[in-house]
Amino acid sequence: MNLEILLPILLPLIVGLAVGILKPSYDKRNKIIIATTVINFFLVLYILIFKTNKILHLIKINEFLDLYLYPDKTGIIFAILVSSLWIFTTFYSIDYMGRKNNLSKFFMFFLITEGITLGIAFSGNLITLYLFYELLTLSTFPLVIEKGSELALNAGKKYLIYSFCGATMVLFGVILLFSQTQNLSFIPGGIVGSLVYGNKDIFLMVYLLLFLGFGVKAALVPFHSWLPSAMVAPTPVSSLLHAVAVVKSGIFALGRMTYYVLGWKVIEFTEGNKYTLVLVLLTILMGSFLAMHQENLKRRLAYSTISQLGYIMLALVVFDSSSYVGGMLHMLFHATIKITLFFCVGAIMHYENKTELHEIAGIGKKMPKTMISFTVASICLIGIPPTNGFVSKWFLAIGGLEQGSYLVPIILLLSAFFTAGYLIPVISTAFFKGNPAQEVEISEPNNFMLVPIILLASINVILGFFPNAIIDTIQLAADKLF
Amino acid sequence: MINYIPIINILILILFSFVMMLIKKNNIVKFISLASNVFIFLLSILLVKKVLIEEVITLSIGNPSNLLGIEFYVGKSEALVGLVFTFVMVMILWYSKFNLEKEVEENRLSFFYILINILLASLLGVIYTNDLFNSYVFIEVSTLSACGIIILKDKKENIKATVKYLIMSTIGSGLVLMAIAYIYSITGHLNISNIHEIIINNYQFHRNAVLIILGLFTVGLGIKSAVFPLHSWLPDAHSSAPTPASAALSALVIKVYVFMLMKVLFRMFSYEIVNSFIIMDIILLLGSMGMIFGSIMAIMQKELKRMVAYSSVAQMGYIVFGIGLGTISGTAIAIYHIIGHAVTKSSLFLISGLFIKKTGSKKIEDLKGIGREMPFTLGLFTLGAFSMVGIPILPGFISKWYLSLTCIEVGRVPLILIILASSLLNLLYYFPIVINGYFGNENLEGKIYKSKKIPFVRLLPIFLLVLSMIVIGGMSYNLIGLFSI
Amino acid sequence: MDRLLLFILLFPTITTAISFFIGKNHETARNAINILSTFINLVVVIYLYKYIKTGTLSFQISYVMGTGLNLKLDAFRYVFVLITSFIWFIVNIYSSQYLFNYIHRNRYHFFFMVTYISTLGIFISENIINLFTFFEIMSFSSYPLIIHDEDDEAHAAGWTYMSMAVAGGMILLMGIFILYSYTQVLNITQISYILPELGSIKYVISGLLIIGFGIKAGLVPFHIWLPKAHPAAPTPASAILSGILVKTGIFGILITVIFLMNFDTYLSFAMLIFGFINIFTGGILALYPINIKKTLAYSTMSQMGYLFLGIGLIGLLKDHGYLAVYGTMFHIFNHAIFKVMLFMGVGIIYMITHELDINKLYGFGRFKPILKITFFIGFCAIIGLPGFNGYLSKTLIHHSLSEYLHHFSDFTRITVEILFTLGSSITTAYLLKLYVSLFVEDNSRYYASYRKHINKRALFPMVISSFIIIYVGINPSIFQKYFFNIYDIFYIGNESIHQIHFYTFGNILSSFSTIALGIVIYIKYVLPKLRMEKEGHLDYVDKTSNWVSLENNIYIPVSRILFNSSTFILRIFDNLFLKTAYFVSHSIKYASNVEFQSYVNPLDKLESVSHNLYETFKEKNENKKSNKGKSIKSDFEEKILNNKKKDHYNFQELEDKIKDYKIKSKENIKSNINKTVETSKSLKAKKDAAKKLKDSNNYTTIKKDFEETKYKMNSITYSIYIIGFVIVVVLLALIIFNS
Repeated sequence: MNLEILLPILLPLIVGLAVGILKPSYDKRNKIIIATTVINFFLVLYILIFKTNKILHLIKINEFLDLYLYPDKTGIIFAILVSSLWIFTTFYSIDYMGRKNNLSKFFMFFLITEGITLGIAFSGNLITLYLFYELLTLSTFPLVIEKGSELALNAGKKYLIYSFCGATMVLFGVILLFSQTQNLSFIPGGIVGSLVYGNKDIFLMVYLLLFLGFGVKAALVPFHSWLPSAMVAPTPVSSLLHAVAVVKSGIFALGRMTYYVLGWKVIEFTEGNKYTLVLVLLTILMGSFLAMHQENLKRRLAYSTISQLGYIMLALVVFDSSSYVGGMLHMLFHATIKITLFFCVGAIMHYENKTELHEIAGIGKKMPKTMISFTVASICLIGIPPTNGFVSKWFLAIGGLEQGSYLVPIILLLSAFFTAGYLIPVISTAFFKGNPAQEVEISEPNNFMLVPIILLASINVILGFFPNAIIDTIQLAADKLF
Repeated sequence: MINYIPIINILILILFSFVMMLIKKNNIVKFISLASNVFIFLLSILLVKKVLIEEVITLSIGNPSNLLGIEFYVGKSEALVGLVFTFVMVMILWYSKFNLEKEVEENRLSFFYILINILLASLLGVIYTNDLFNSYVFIEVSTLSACGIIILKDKKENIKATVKYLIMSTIGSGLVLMAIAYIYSITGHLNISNIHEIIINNYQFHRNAVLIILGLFTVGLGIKSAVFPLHSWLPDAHSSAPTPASAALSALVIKVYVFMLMKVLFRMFSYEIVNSFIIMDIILLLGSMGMIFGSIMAIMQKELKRMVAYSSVAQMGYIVFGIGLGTISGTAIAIYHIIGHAVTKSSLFLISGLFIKKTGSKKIEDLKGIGREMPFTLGLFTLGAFSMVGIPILPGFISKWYLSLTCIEVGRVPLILIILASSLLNLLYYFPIVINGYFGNENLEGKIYKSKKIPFVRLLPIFLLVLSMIVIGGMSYNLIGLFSI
Repeated sequence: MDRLLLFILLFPTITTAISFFIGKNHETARNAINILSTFINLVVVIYLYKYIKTGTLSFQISYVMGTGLNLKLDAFRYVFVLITSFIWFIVNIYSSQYLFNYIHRNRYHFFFMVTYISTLGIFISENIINLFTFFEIMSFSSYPLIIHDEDDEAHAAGWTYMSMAVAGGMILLMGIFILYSYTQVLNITQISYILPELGSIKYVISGLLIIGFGIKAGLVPFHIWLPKAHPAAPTPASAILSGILVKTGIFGILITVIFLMNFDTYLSFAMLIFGFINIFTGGILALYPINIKKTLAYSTMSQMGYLFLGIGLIGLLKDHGYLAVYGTMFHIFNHAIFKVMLFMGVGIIYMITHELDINKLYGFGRFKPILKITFFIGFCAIIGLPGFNGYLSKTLIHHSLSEYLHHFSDFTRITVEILFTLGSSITTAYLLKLYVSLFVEDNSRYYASYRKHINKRALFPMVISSFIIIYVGINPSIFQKYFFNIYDIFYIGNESIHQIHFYTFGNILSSFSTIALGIVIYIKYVLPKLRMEKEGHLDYVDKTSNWVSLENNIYIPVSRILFNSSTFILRIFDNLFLKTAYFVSHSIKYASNVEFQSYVNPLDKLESVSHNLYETFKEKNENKKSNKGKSIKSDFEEKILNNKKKDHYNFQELEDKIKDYKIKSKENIKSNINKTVETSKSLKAKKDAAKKLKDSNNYTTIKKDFEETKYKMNSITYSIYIIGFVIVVVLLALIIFNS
């Protein structure tokens, strides 16, 4: 019995509920939350060391509602990403949210969301994942509408309904799948196997339904529009939602579905990835292109998120070892990069309350550390070597070429060009416009905000210089699959 | 001894109702009715245990082959449904012990409890009996007592609703009576098993007769159980009645007739017979229409109780859908949904009663910000809503899932779309309440935050109902295995 | 000793970091550190020479940057490294003086040094990914140098530069992607074994690489950023941009054409053509501008043309391309020195006058001997006057060209000769324009003024480089002496290496003839055609202002069209589903907008209509300003009352009423009211009445129900439609694809 696997999921849930009910004072609450996230990180590490590939049965209601956890390599990588970034976000959001009253509800859901995300990471079969997936929607919803304004409520409703439509499609797919294979567990290479011969159509249908359904959370193009409008949320939430928790859960679920449930051989046989590849390329192009039209910085970043998620999804429609590596790398790297960018924008919003591009002229001379971190992160995002963004892009493009499609690298580079197009104006406006530096006195955010920003920015560069450790780990996982 | 429990249940209830008539003091009446119901509940637990051991209990009074003979046939499904019904009824009584005074005048309170007892007795009768005429009698009794409950608070709308209900259900029972008479004239029997033996041998010689009988039964019982196009009486009746009454009506009463319909279709006739007629497709169609249109009507509503009532039209659609699939598993899911929905819907009605009592308004707009005042209650409501929407483990999801699997099994995959669409529509009318309740800030100014907190003991029945809902969801795998007609 | 390769990258990095942090407060210390570090680097590079003489240095770290770091230094790369470190050293000295009265000096110096490091990195990196990495770092770090002034011109130039640079980087990266996917290796040497065997794809690859590098090197169709960026930057920055950074592009192209593609003939020929195109475009465009830095920038373009020419010749002449290699490398060296020197001279002028307009600066340097002399030396060097270093390299390239041409027909040979001479003579023309107007003409404004401003330490680097120019010019074989082992890198056997006699009669004659032709062009074209009288002085005018500009008339419109069109298309995708949802919901509402009428009290209707009428008539009255208004009013009111008695109503009847009322009113009021007006008014009244009725609450429509339940029906409903739509689409797709 490996009950420890349950710990990192339960701890934030319990503490979060406690915080929500007991409503502790400001300082005490902060201490509790920080302690929880940090401990949780170590719990995840513990599981990585001792409990990898151990199984924990929760309940077995019937042959399909059989909930169990099975943390394998991929899941734990995701879990480590989530739990580590959650720590940064905690520190950041403590400063960002300030001393507003009835924040305990916010932090309750904040912690609960972490638990549920880890649940997604550890879940051992599709139905468990689906359960946590639905719960994630419900637990992030209050965070989205934290402001409680009409705009926020509408955005929240939009987010909710999009997610549930996606979940419904997923459910449809799962039902069909289950009726074929009386089994939903995750096995490298898929559970379908030779069943696909004969009823190719139904598996094509299953694949498309599952892909589109999970794609809603991963902001696949026709279903992306909840993402920019969910930007009304406070910045820590946006950064979490758009960098780590929600979209990455969607991606993660897609990865599970593609490589562990259906299996890429089956999908290739059904040729479903031909249709989805088009959508993904469209996602990349559209996101990065329309980001150039956004005047509001957060919306800019939201659209850029859409395109970057497209990068990751390439790994799920182009079945090649190196593109898989690239996708996984980009999943990690984009998380750190995008969370940095969001933090910087959030700092500007919080201290200068400036949200538009034209307002921030010369902000780089006022808060140089913040904007330098922003610059570093955006160079990473553009994928200029020697930063981490380049490494993942390299693998993705090579993978695309290995499969003989020139379209993939061309689209990648085009969108990298557009990425420069929407990020460099921000930088040059911030640094090279406005009053000269001598006349501006420096006022940086305080350390709760600044330290996570700088740490994350430096992590990006370091990862860019020494990615080999991660690459090798992922390569191992890839070798299992291909 | 245990074999006599069915009849004992019914008799005890009726007996105590007579006793209650003689007593003036309301508290004693309350106590008696509660006690009797709890007693029944315990007895039916015993019954279930017995039935689980030996598959079926039959209990005949007089000679079942002739007219006067009465036969009770208690299989697993009957016993379980009876158990859940008694449980729900106990919870409703417990609730009404605290909350009925607001809605009904002092001098009518005892009347309510009497009627409730009679109602439950008749319902159990319909469930247990294996005899058409007998069941007809019980159906009539139940209808009348239901009307009585509705009309307890003699507002104008109540009287209108009651008259509507009375007329329509009289039509319904008239049709049922015609059907019974017709089948008696053909077979010369009223006992379902005997009729089955006769029909199974020579139904192909009287296909039209069988078709007519099926049609009569379906329409008649359909009217009573508010199957979609015949549902028009339901929203008025259920929304205007006092809250516990509407809970009982919409959780138990309408279900019984469907259960009766199932008996008629699958026990009196049989799967192969009914599947050989077009009637099943019609039932399936009605079910799916009910699922969709019931939800859409519910979205249109502006009053909370009307909305919940319409939602039970939609949920009836699920049950009828399960019947219409015309397979053993479909029937099992239908029965499972009867149970699950009985628990869920009763809790939803009771909670909405609390909301109305708190806000003093029936409108849904006025519920914004209710979550700030009664968070726990709204939490229970949310759980019920989850079950309706179909979050895994909760019964709503289970029945949706099994229905979908059965659809695939009988090769009607597109029907899954209807199920999913209806569950999304459920989302549409339940979630705005939850969201606005928790996050809407309107209607809060000028109110004391957490004013008049409800003691937990008053919430306990609802809590137990929701808990049992979760349990039913959790045990679904074993439960569905038990159900059959 | 191989570690020294890492040292010359890491040491400036560290010193740069230090100087950046202390530089905010201690300016002099920062400058000292920078100058010192560049000096030490120079010394180290010079020290490395003794290893280069015997062999090559190479250094590797795996497990860095995914692909590992792989450095290499051989004689051929050594030329670039040496010139880079030397130029940076002197420009550093210069810029410490130049930027006195600039803001953001710290930022400037930081990026100046970063550019230095990355440039060195480009020249010594063996792994093509490393090369690309340093290349990109250089592009990005030179951006702040270009837009240092932060004015609009600088930002415009910076934008052009940035978009070109990023695009170039992406094209380059595309090339590298394909290269890797075909060869699976990244080391330049290993690639050079595999790539030439590949077949037609290798031209795609090398084409992409050449475009990518060519953008930096100012290859003609992609040169547009160069004349904008070089003048916009502060002078030391433009000096290194023109002197070194363009050489990185040259280096890349050289690597691609000669080593990766292994002396490919087609590419080399293409480079030959491009060389001529660049020489001419650059030269001709350099004749016109009135901004002196712009002239120098264009002249850089034309000088790059010589280098393209040289590369082409190396590729074409293959293993007996001794002269071509010699000339090209030598010209790289020389051009760096004299172009930097010229820029520094212009910089000094700008530093004093803050003026780059040739029409304001004429006669500036007339009484400034040192500046005048140094500038003159630079001038002589670039036009290739015998005795200066420019002469030597140009002569070599000329020789190798004729060597290549000697087995062509006479006609071609002569035409190419003429072209070459013409190209070089244009150089003389535009620099003569510059020199004469700056140093020879007489301008009273600058008599004896500004002398004190000229800063000795700013002149010092110019003096050094002019000495070098003359020294190299006087003993021409020095390059040959020190860099004798370049040639076997180019697979050129020792047998073809021989001593060259530069100062033969033929060479000197050809050079003088070129210069003479240049002077002729200057006198016959520049002086008369390009000047016009303006307050007592012949001002130069920029005729190119109304020429077709590659950027404004081709690139920008095309890209704008592309941009807008794709915006349109992608916007459709952006809100495809929301739009569909709106459409569906609206159509449903429209369909459900069937009005069914509940009982309406006719009196109310009559009320509304007649009230309208009453209003209209009243206003008509007021228009007429008649004093009988009251009577009309009252009598109309009682009419309305009569109407109200009746409880049935239709428009026709109402119209009749109006009509007979009109007759009455005619009798009453002695005024000619235009009939048509009234009828129109009554009609209007009818319309209003109808509208009122429509709006009045007596109608209930399903649409209203929708509106009432709107708070539930916003995004939620739409998304429901969306999902329905999607499911239908999916099913249809399946049906279609599977049938």
